[in-house]
Amino acid sequence: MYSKRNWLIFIVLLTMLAGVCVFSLFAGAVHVPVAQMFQSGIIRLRLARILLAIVAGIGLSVAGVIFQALLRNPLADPYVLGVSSGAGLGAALAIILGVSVLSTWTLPAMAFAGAIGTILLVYTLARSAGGVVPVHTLLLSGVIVSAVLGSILMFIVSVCPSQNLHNVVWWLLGNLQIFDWALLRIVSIVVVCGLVITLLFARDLNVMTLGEEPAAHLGLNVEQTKKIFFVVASLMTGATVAACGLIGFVGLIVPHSVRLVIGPDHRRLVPASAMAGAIFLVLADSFARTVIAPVEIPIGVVTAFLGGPFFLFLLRRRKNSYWS
Amino acid sequence: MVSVKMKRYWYITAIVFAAALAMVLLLSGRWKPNDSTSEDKLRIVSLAPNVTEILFALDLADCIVGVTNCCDWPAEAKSIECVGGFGAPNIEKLLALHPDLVIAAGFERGDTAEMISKSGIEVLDLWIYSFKELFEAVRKIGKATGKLQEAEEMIVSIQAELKVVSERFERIEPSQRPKVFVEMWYNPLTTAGRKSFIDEIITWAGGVNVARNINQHYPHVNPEKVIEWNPDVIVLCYMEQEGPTAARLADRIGWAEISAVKQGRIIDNIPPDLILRPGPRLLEGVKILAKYLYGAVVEKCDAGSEKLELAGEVR
Repeated sequence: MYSKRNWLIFIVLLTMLAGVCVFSLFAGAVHVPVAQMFQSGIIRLRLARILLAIVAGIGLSVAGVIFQALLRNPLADPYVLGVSSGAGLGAALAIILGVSVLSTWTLPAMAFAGAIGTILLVYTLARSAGGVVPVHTLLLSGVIVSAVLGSILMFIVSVCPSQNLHNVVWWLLGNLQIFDWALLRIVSIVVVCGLVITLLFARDLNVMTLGEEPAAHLGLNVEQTKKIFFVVASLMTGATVAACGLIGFVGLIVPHSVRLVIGPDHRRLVPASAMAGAIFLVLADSFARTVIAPVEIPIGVVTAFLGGPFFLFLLRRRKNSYWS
Repeated sequence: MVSVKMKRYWYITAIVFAAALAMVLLLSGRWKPNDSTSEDKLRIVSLAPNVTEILFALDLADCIVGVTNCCDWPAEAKSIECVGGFGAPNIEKLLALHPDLVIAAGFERGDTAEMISKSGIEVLDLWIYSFKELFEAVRKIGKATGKLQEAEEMIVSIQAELKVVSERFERIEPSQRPKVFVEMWYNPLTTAGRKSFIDEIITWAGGVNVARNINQHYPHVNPEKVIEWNPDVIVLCYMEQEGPTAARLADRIGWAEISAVKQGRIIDNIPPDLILRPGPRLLEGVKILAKYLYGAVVEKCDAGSEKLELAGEVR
């Protein structure tokens, strides 16, 4: 299964990840002399950011891989089932109701609740009488729920007082600065568990891409597999969004680009996307906080900027497509 | 990775990423903290332009070690180290400056204040929505910096000057005073409601805010409402960007019949910071507006470092 070429790619990716992390420790607005590195609070802040970027990168890319495989749609990203609107709504409610000042946990918790609630709603809406959830119905109900929640969010944003409005808009742009190690720990646990489960069941993802009926004929319990993977992907996305806000493009671009290099076999695709996503986000984060320091570019802008040209490139190549 | 086209695109991608890496490398760590801990002066970081103005007014200019990129008055403020945007400091730079006190007027992130105070730095978060809150804020800053007496003196002097301005029109009945509409943004049309200090500015200057019955800070209003209110004076006051000038207002549908537009009593040359920035210069804003509403003579007046000449539409 793991040929020499694949091991090489994994080793290269791992080295790149380590390299980018070390690089990122040195990148920032303030120059920290090497001698002071170990005591410096600033380095600890950067370390927290790097770790969160790794976790978010893994979470978003793997969730992207899962959604693209299950929905069999190349435009699927972690937010396709309305998670972004749901989490945004949860966060907006937390800010506007004023509960976000009660504790640093309230905002992430409500964003997470919004994300999971949305997934449950979408899933329930898409379920047909026999307990079967057809994939295109899921996609459609996801788009609709996303639109409805998004409009509620817009309504809230338009009527709430100006000070809170700014906080909500900021949160929606995404930010990798984290001040709370405990939150980072919880999000990491969720994402790592999700990654492990996905790795263990990656072969089933391969079978799912053939189509639901062929997969069933090949002996896969399609509904159960769908359920497990949706839960895993939703939890990972929800946890990431709760900690960082909405960071776009990562879940969409990374799986596609890794697939071009390593092929569509999910047993290789999943770990490679995880690592590539981590590298991408750590690099994007160091870019975001360094280039026009002390002003910070929102991370979503940087991922779009770095990933956008790549996406255009993908659109142009129709041949050699694994999606034909 | 076979076709030539694909190879070309991979090169492009590689170049983009390499460029990003290079930019980060070159632009990183541009700021080196200087360990000038020899001074035992209080080190203050201001995270809002109005806070900076208050600090300068309290004669604390040499204690300020960090400001935002919007802190542009007085001119000396621009040469102080910038730590980020309004309420959004770059945490690395903020910590590296080793401040003793951080004063903000609202944070972009809810947990920034907690994080800063966990590092042992005192944090003051002052939201100023009225003159009373402005005086409270000045008092709090005075207390935190040991300049309480100067703060009280400043408050008393501002209040005294406000009284002097109001003597001009005290004899005029409120129903005879000019109705004023302050336009803060044009899309959507935004004005200042009763809860805002701008409403108080209008009152202190002897006008009547047409939006005074709206119990919000900065409500969006329907243009029809403005026609219904029929203000005598319109003040155009946009924060930073340019907006429509006085001449364009008549082009708005139905606005040609508004009293202010018909008589040309549209003021668009008051420096917006004098009305929109809740600091000691609000007094100047009140004075200028009062002169517009009641001054019959062309006068020169000082507004900070700018000189304004009032003429023309003033009745």
